[in-house]
Amino acid sequence: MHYIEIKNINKSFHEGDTVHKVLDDVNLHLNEGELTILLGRRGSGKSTLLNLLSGIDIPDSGQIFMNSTEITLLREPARTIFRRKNVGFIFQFFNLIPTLTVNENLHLALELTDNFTPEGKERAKFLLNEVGLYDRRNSYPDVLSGGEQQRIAIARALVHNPGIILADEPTGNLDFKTADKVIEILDDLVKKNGKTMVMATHSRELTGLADRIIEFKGKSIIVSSQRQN
Amino acid sequence: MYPPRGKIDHFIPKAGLRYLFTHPWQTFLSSIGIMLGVAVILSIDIANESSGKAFDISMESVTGKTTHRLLSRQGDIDLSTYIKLRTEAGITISAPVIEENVKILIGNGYTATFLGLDPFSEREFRNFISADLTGDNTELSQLLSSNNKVLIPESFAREAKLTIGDTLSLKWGDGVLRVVCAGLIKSNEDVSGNRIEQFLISDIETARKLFNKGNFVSHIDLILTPSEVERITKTILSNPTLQLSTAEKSNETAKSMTEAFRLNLNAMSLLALIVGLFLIYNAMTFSVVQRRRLLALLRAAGVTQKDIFIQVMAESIFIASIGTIGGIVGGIFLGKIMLGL
Ligand SMILES: Nc1ncnc2c1ncn2[C@@H]1O[C@H](COP(=O)(O)OP(=O)(O)OP(=O)(O)O)[C@@H](O)[C@H]1O
Ligand SMILES: [Mg+2]
Repeated sequence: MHYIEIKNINKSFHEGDTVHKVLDDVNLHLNEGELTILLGRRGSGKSTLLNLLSGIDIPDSGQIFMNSTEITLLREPARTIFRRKNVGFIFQFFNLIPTLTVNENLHLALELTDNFTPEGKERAKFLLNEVGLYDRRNSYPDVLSGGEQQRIAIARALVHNPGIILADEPTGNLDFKTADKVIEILDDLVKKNGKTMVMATHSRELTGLADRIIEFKGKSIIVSSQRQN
Repeated sequence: MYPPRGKIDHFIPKAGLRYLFTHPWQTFLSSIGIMLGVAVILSIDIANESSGKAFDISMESVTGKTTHRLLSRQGDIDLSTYIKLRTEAGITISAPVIEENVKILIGNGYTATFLGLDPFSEREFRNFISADLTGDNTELSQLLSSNNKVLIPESFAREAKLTIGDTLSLKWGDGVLRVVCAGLIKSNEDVSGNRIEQFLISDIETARKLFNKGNFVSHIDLILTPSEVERITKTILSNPTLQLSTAEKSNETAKSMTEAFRLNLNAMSLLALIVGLFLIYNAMTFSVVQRRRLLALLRAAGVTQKDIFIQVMAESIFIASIGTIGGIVGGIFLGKIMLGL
């Protein structure tokens, strides 16, 4: 059983009279515990695919199964609840709520999933230690550096124990050295916790970590390749 | 100690409130749009309401219960007509009035209407004559029958810092008349500063001497039924110089002025409503738009549209409350200023 199954997905955007086809009949299957990298140029449709996987957006046609739930059959509130429980998100920037402290940002993710319990708080503490920022738990996000904010975002994405992590260029905003460290932490934590991760990037640097690489070439063709060990 | 919580009853409201308090200027600016809107609408409305009221009352107190007014086309009216009203038309309730425009020489001067009234006939006509008289408790007729005594409105006395016994200089034509303030008229409704003009009241005999009227008065006020109107038409009005006009007609100019003023305020009030609504709409849109990224983040984290809507509404109500309270205070203040103009 594949963890994520995508069948005959089509997605276009309408702007005025012009129709812009971004995903054309895409088929994919990703296994549990795998790290998949979406590689492609700007505007090639990486974010669009991630939004479909998380249920933020819906395809024009086709089916998406996640852990045997067909999310394309769910209506909006149900999709939101599904996302809340099963998906952890890391974006390029603006991951944290600026008026909540680091701790409160993690606690919000716990509260949303009914995990705001002593065990949940313990897990938040554990993850903050893992990303090396437990001593900054009472700071507001805007006093943290970009790299530190992304490390907090990683902890936040994992704190409620979702099955899948979706990362949209999580290091796109960072310099190389900081990016390396953030990726190292992310890769380590995701693998240690046995999570399935899909990460979008436009640089080839990270492909070495991936179990599977999906390359967006041209407008709509998708090449899938298995990592060779 | 850790009961299972509802979905967003803790951290999201906290984040929202903190946002409002850590961005006081933004919150203030959002509120100010609403404040302005509310204040403008309210102040225009206050000005509209109270000026309308002031006009009604001042016209009522000068005209009294009078329904008709007997005038002469030649100016003043001979007192013999007053006798004929009783003898020929059988009208017993009538009040001769001397009315002259004077200028009270205090400060920059106040334009005023000098009314010479007959205290005995007047009781039927005007409320303020029977109203409380402060000062001496003597009978009204006694108070006024002695020479050059006048009554002035209490509100005017307060404004011009006059007390009973003070002498007033009145400019009439080219000459100056001197009268003594003998008492104050207390209006039941306090319409004080809003009166369109001031007035002085004296006994009709005093007025006749002051203005050299001889056997003439300015007009005769009447309270008539339709059949009495008919009787007067048949008898007195056979004299072509005499004219019977309705009380409304004699106040026509004042009335049309009021109407025009009110129409103006109504138009302004409508305009203010539109401007106010626009300001409020803008303020609300602004406060949502500036937090689009935050809302997007919450959506990605799995907060439902409904919960976000509730949160945005709660914050909007909070901002709107501040704005409305400020707007009401400001609106009352502005309204007062406008009335003072
Ligand atoms: N909501 C939308 N409305 C209209 N067009 C959209 C919308 N979202 C995406 N697009 C278009 O779809 C295409 C794919 O966008 P997408 O964001 O998925 O690209 P991407 O690969 O994530 O690019 P980037 O590397 O810049 O993040 C782009 O041409 C974009 O303009
Ligand atoms: Mg993108």
